[in-house]
Amino acid sequence: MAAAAPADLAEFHAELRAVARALLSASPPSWDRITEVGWTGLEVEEALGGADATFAETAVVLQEMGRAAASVPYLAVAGLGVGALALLEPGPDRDDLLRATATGDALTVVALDAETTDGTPFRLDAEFRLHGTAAFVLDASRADRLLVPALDPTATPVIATVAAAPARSRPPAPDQGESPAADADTRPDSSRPLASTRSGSREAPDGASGWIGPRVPMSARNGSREAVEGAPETDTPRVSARGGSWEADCRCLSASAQGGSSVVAEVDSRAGSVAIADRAVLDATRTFGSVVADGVAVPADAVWRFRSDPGVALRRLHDRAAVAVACDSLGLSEAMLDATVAYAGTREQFGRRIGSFQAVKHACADMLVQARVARELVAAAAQAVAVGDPDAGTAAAMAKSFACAAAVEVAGKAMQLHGGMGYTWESGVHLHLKRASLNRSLFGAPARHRARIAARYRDGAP
Amino acid sequence: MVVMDLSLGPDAARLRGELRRLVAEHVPAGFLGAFTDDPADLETAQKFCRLLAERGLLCPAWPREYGGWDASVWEQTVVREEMWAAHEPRGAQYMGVNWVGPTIMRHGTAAQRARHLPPIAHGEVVWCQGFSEPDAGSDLAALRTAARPDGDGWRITGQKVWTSYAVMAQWCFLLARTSRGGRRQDGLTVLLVPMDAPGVEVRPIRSLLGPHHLNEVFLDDVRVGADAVLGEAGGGWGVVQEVLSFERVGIARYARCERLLQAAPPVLGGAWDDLPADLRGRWARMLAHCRRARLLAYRVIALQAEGRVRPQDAAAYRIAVTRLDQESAEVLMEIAALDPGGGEESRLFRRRVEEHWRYSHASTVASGSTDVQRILLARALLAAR
Repeated sequence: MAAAAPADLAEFHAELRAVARALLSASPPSWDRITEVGWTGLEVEEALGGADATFAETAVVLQEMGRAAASVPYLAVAGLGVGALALLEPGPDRDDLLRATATGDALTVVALDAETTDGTPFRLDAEFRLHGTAAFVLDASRADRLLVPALDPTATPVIATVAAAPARSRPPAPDQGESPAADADTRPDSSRPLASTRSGSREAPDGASGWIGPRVPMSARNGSREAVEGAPETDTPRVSARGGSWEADCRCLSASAQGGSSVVAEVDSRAGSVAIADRAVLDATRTFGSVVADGVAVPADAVWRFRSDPGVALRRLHDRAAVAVACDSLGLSEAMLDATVAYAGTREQFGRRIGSFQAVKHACADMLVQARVARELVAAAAQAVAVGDPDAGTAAAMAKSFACAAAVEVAGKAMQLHGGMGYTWESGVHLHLKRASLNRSLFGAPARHRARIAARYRDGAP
Repeated sequence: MVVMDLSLGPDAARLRGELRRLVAEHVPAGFLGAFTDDPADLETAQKFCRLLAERGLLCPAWPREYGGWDASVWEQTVVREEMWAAHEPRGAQYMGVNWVGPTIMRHGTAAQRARHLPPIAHGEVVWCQGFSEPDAGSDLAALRTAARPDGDGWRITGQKVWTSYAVMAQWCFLLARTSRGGRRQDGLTVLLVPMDAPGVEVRPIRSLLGPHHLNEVFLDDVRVGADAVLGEAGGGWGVVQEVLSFERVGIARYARCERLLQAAPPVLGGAWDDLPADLRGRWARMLAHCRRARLLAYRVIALQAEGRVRPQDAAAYRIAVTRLDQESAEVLMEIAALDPGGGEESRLFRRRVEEHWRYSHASTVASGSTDVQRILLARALLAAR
């Protein structure tokens, strides 16, 4: 991040990175802690309870989320939710939600379809009824407030805000309870003998349910959201548990292997509904939901307008999403490089550390080059988004296409160099590989972003 | 120069047809191998092996005296291809057919052949391979599991790891150290160990391959008789080199890649033409890769049939086919991600692709990592200069 930043900012980023790494090394990372330390409010103005920083700082935390393969909704909330709210015209309602999102009182998710790179599948008809389907929305099933980008009757992009009252309790992250992947043993630590981890705890980590309680009025909330009334039903089928482990299928590298999905939240009105259904994905550290709006009536005061050119604003939101995912992939590339170097420095075969073999050295050097190039592209893109550079889209496309493809290659090499250890559930390498594979297709596969770059230069300067 | 008939002739075509019919009739459409969480899948595989055996299709190329019908290696190749393409409905038993049986035929005593070959040919026994250890992976000769003489037999103590199918196996093809001194490769011996012997303990390892595939095997003072030794005591390294050459061409990985690649256009239907041009280009390149890997496999099988196969021949094929496995898995994942289909056919395709993707990641490590295969090749190449 430091490349284009003054020295004091670089120092601040290094400090933020160190704090984030320490906090996220807790197993599992606690969403309450993350909101307490203010990372969801980094970009929010001070008057609304934020830190008045920029996307460049959010990007630092996003990278650490990828490094830790953290199963928390940071990208959805800080990457997209806050980003969308900041693009909207200020007003009492928007300000309240931004403040609540910053403090962690609201889990605000943007219904941006992860299979798209532009536009929105939602529209408001002449009677302000909302129609449309987004097949894959990051952390939709964890949301208590949905921001739905939609075209109004004049085809102008707006944000329709919808309270996502859960019909039942939210499912835990897919891997939790199903395997040790989400507990203390997720991080790659391949030097650990298998036998010592096998008896490890399989319990769902605490904190997992802390931020997935039912929606209650903001005023009723204080402290842990686990303690609120109206406890969730406990018989929710874990639709994604099995799919997340062995048999997830791979639409957007995802979709339930069982072919079905259960509705976890529904907003009804006389005219229709917004339904959020859980979608299983290959990457067990993430949750997705489909969002289906079926003519639900949206009150006029729940339709919020962008503060500047709405088309540009929507474009910037997509670019932000792409860069946020690129940050995640960069972090996990660096984690895989570090884990591999550590392993190659301890694992011995033929009486030598395997890191002394040329084949292993070359592979590690290749990984380093990939990660370093990705870091420069991501830093440039994060900076472009932070300052609202009109050509941020180009930087975003370059970062997204390179960093996300590189992460798959780096994680793949890490798996190879870890030998049999690499594909054990315990090593965690597979978690990073699956997350990297998912990231690659989120908000536009590399080919889509390369096509955007080609179009950009065909059309000349913006 | 031999011109290769890729179809392997009319007999092979008939055999292919028969195998496909049997799979269609006896293996459920959603079958993704025997090692899933559903015990019915293992049962399907065990039944299917017996069915193949009854029809002489489990090990057709074996001699009649051991339960085969003296068919050619090409017919055996057809069986391998059709089975792997159908997600291996023989479950773990392919190992018995591919290399355990053939190795016992070559090195076993008459009593060992009589004892071990018929159950393999009848589809009644699962074998596992006890080679790798925690500190002996690529460096297999570093293994420490030791068998010490005990009267006329042996007592074995040690630990094996990454042992596929050990949890369901009745027998283990075990490599252990029986003497020290001299080269590390000397003093190793193959022992045929019953998995129900006292002192054998199996612990599953959860992995990307699923919950019922890899295992650790602990051997604590396991007593076996003199008849457990396969070949010469101290001659295990030579036997294992042969085994690995058989093993490295034993799975027709290209056949599943090809089956899945060919399935993609019909599954996507109209959406096929909407795929990015570069993705369809990569798909076509993968099909050509399948053909190349198949030709390399046929070359190794022909050499093997003549008893002239060298480790570097198997290594070249192994590198090509495992690379194909991973690259085709990536291409297929990208195609599946763009498949808009919500129907049963699409769902099944995505599950098969996802399973292929997971397995492909182990292929460049299992049975000798790609890095080791490269060294084998390079050593042979440079020694010839």
